[in-house]
Amino acid sequence: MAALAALAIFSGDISRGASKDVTLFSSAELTSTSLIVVQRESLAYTTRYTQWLGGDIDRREVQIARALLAQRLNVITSSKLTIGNQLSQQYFENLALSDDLLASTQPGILSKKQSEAIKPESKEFIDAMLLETRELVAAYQNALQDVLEDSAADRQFKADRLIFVLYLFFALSLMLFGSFIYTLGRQFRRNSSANSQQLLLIGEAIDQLAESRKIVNQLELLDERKNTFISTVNHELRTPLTSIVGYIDILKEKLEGADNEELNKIIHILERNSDNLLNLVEDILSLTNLESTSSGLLKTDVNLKEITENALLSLTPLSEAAHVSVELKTQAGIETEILANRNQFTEVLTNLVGNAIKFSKPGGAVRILIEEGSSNQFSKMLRISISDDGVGIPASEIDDVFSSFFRASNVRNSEIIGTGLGLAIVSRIIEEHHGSINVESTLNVGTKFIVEVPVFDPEIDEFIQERKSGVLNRAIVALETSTLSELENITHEMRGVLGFYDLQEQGAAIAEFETWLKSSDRAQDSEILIRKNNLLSVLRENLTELHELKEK
Amino acid sequence: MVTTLGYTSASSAQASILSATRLMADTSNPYGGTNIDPLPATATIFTVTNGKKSINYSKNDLLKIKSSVITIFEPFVQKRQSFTVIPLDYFLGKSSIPSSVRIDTVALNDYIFSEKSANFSKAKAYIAIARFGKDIPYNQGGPLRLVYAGTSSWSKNLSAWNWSLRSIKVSKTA
Repeated sequence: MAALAALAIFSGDISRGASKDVTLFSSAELTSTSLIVVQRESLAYTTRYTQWLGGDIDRREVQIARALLAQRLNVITSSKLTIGNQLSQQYFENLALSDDLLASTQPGILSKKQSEAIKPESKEFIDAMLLETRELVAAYQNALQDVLEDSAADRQFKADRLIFVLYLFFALSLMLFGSFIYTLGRQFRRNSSANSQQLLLIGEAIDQLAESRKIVNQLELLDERKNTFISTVNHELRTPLTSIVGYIDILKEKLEGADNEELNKIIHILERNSDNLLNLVEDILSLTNLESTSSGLLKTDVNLKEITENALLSLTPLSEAAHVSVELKTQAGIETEILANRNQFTEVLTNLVGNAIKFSKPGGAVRILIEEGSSNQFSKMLRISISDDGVGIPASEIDDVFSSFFRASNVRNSEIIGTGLGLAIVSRIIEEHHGSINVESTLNVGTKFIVEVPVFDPEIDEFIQERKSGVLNRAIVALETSTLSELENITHEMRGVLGFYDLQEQGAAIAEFETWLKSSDRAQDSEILIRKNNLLSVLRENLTELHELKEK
Repeated sequence: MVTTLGYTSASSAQASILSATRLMADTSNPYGGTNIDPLPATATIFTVTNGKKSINYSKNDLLKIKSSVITIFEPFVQKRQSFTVIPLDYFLGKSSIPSSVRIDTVALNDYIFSEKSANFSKAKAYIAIARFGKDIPYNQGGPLRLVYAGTSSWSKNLSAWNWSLRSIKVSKTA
């Protein structure tokens, strides 16, 4: 049995490895297809432009080539492929320059006079586009090489592990061979019908395995449907809830100082319940976003100590109200930079420390320790543990602690409110960060959460920074060139792209503008333009800052 | 078969769930390409050739042909969209293109999707001439494009959804 188990692990490993390789190469193939398509359309456009400049074709044909290039870029983005980050800021500036040059001329065949007038700038555009298309090929080669290198490293790791498994398998086989012969002889003597029964059982097991695969497929489909459904429902719930909370605030403001105890009490209940509901919707939305495969926020260097201190600062009112002390200690002489998404990791700390405070008794203490974590030849981890001396979690429920809507039975009927989604969110975020989370708890003694996350690697950071400015520039160009009627769709698309590249502040600014647009049906065009220009100023400033940061 | 792009196919589960909420026009392209000098409505925008004779169609000609409106899941933008369409069979019949030959559907940027004429008929191919009652912009795959209903065997064959259609002709290898 042990030998069979080892063999199963071995074959499963190979199968998983092969499947991963297929995914890797498929990803590289898609990227290369995108690059080739963009390169082709860019060249087609540049060629048409050159023909038009020479008086061979009319302006309309160049405009069509330009439109088809835009269409391909848009389809690639819509298909969630990442051509945008392969194209430099200069590429989009060149397109904008060519748009301006085209717009400055008359329809039809270009006159010699006009051709001469725009020739210097046109030459600049043509040269730059040819250079860009060459660089696209280099980008494709780099992308492919990255995939191959990753795959090679992965294979090396698997090969090492495989040798270990084979040694183990061999040793186990030797040990078991003797006992197998002995057992076989005895078994054969005992009951030959038992063997046929076992064969029957094996057959059934194989059938069940096939059935399980079917069920897994169905579950995956259902999970996907569930995520989509929840996203839609949450969106419909969150918008009205946000405005309800807003109205309650206004009501509170109006009633301030008024001597109406009953009304104040009702407002207080309304406020508490709508806040709870909003928190629940926000939590479900966070969880759904994390569970969907496309959530992937890129991470950068974040100082764990610094964000822990910030989280503690924001939790001070809670700890003071609960009369719980919070202490943070850091192991001397260690680097506390981790590879993380700042906002998501702040949410992790706020959740874990917030829980520790909530479930502590008055006069209790929460202890946080940052120290070196486990490490191997591939990664080095930093560990943060959060301990409390609170109510603890019953041992029988500890395995469910990271499940959605989990509330320990000893707090379910208490006054401590919660959605039961916090730890599920925390666990998913940690998973997204390629880290781990463990919990140790003793009822009525306390709980300790231990989180490990990879430390920051400057090479990965460089990779992200290289692409950020290009993406932000694309957002600016898109906003600049959009008509008022196109704005809503563009801001929606841009928000997602910026989020993906960890440009969260910029994404938030665009989201705010988008929300305002949606809620301002009767807004004057001039008002929209003013707000759009304000947004553009902010984004341009951010872009300059990014460039300066890169130069430094 | 000559392919245009090898993108991953749309999720049918997502399509069915979002069908109600995503029925909306997508009129944006953040990458520009919006300004095209207008063409007279009598100018040829589409040609069908059977190898011997060509029939040219202007916008006015296409508007005179009996069309219908279908609402389908557009797999590239992944939204439900309404298209004004003419069955491809109409053009094949008008040019007397037999079902046994292979035809090329050629886009404005020379992309080609080729298949046997009978297979286009089997897949119930349509030529879309408008989207949500308006001209389809060039920077969104217009003015003419091949589309397929959800029930079509090619509804997820993205190569078959040729954009910015310029002409249809009998393949040289037919």
